[in-house]
Amino acid sequence: MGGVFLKTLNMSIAASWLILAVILLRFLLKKAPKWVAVLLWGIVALRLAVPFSYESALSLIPSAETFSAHNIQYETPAISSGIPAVNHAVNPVLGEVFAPNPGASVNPLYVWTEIAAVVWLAGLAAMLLYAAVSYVRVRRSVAESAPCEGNIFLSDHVRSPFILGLVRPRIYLPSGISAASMEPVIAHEKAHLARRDHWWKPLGFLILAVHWFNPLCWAAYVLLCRDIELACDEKVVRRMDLAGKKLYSTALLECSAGRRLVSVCPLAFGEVGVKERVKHVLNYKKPAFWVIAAAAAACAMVTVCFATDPKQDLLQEQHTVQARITEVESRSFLAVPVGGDSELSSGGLRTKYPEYFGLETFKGLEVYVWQMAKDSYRFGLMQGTDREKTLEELMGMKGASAEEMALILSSYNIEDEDIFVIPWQNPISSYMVTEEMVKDPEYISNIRAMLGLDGGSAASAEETASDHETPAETLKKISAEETADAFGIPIVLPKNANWIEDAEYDLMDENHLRITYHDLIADADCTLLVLKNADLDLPPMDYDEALNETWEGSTAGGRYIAVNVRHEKDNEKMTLAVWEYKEYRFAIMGEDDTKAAIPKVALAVIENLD
Amino acid sequence: MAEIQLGTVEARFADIIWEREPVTSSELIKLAAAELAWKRTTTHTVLRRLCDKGLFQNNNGMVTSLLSRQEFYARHSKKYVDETFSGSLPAFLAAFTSEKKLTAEEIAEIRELIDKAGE
Repeated sequence: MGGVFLKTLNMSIAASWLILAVILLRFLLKKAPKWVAVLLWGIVALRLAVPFSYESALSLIPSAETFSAHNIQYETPAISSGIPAVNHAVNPVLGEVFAPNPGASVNPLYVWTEIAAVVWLAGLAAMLLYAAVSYVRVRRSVAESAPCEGNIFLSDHVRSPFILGLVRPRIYLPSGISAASMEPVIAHEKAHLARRDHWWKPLGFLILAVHWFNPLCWAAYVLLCRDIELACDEKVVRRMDLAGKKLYSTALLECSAGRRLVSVCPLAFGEVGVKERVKHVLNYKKPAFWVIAAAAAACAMVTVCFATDPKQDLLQEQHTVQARITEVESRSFLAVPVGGDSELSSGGLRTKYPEYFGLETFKGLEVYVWQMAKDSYRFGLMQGTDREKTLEELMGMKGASAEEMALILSSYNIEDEDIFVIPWQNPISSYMVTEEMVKDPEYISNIRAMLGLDGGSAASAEETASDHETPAETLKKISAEETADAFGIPIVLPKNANWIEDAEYDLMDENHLRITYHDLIADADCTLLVLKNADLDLPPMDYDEALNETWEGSTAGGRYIAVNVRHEKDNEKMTLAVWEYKEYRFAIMGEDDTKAAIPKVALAVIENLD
Repeated sequence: MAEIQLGTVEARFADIIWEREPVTSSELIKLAAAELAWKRTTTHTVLRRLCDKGLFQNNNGMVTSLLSRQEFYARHSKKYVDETFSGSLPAFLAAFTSEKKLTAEEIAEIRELIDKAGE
């Protein structure tokens, strides 16, 4: 939802430049016929409503994407307004206020975006509700009307003439209208119908409802309504002589409450003052050919300069690399680096993943992929070797996202076929990737697609997968009693409790112990991982910072140990508990909707450590 | 008796009753549907209003007049009922509208504009 909102916001900002240009042009084109102004508003409407646009080198719009969803979700928050002064003023503040919290792994600005999206939808709903209520009220008030002629009806309950209905529009006149005014008023309303104004105005309102947060759109709507009235007047008086114009002006004056075009809702604002309309009618002269030609040229110019997006390479002012993410089928992402400078020298990736750059490629590159959840993939990169990577090497990999890895890979001058994608079961992840899944050629080809890599035949993928046996097969099963001897400390799951089942102790090597068990209270498979003399590389998940908590444990010997507990956002169940003891690092992870079962196991394990 | 005012549309409906009275309300619904394109509910609403004004009476579905057409027009000229749907605009939007009536000076000014045009 945040994505749709950001898209709308960016469209709104881009269109604001066009609105400003049209307002200016409208002022300059005072002599031109008013339908030109209405046409210009049509271009504005297109720009506001159509989510894509042509790119043009002549575009004067500073930026087509001020708020990049990518920046907001994954990187240090920043805007690219296309105006350096604005960026320089705003970005440091954004960076400070919304700096990504390394522990939280989700950018705070992302949360704000979601909140803003909800507010936006509420506003949109309010606008539509208002239109619907107004429509029903007007409908009810004109139920009691008398047919006059054709589609013209008289009503006792309206004060000024208007049109109601989209498909079979009816003209409603106040029943007290004077006979002299009748003809010009009907001529005016019929001109509205001929111009299809009863469609354009509701359409304008619909677009305004979507962009309600943009004051310039309100200004545009008000001006559109004025221009529609003036253009309609012009259409009526075009063939009139002075006497006719005087009659028409008198009718305007008589209906001094003003005639308004009510099509979907009685949005009367934007109505032009009678005086302005009378002046306009009386002064109307058929515009000279050159005026129309100049107006047409101006419209074309505005369209080219403001209704198009700037060419992307003009945007490279910030010298950062952005990934344009195109959603492809089945929710996987294809990341393609935006053209221009792909040197990455100033990008955040080099600082974030220095070890993934400048690797030797003569034996190819190995991309390790593991899953934290069904649709959550993480990637690590190592240079190709003939030997198998040790678990320590694998555990040391930082998990990059698909789009980050795609950008990292694009910094290498290497054939796609020399990049090997290798599935790996990260012991920290409780999401089990089974052998069958890994052997499915589609698994690899999907992942290659995510990275923007060419094919990589199924055969070679399979070969690679079997070449690099998953470390799971090198495990050595031990019993709980053996942990003290094999690992240096006793690691005992709560014994006298009957909520732990199927505990399995896997000693992966002398420094890595993995225990899997089933927790009956959480009703989930959990993993306890213990590393000796090594740091845990905690999985980058969306934890809810507000739920972070610390449980206090103590060993039988009275040593106090703090257990940091985190819970996944959005009511997902994943819970992680981490703590340290001497040179050991512990982590328990699993789906725990009780939010307490895993921390309790942690405290029990701690109690038995001495 | 308080003065009875009828709008043009109400007057056309009243004419239908005067022409056919006594008339049953179901017949009236059919007549109003044919001549005014009204729905049943609209006819009921307007009929009730005119009865409340003391112009007609509805006795168990039989509608008759309390005041004949001649009597009514002898006393009342047709008047435009200044009932509008103003108020359908929330105050915040009304602020944008130019609903305010023209002052006498403004009208005179515009009148002069029209009169002087072309001179």
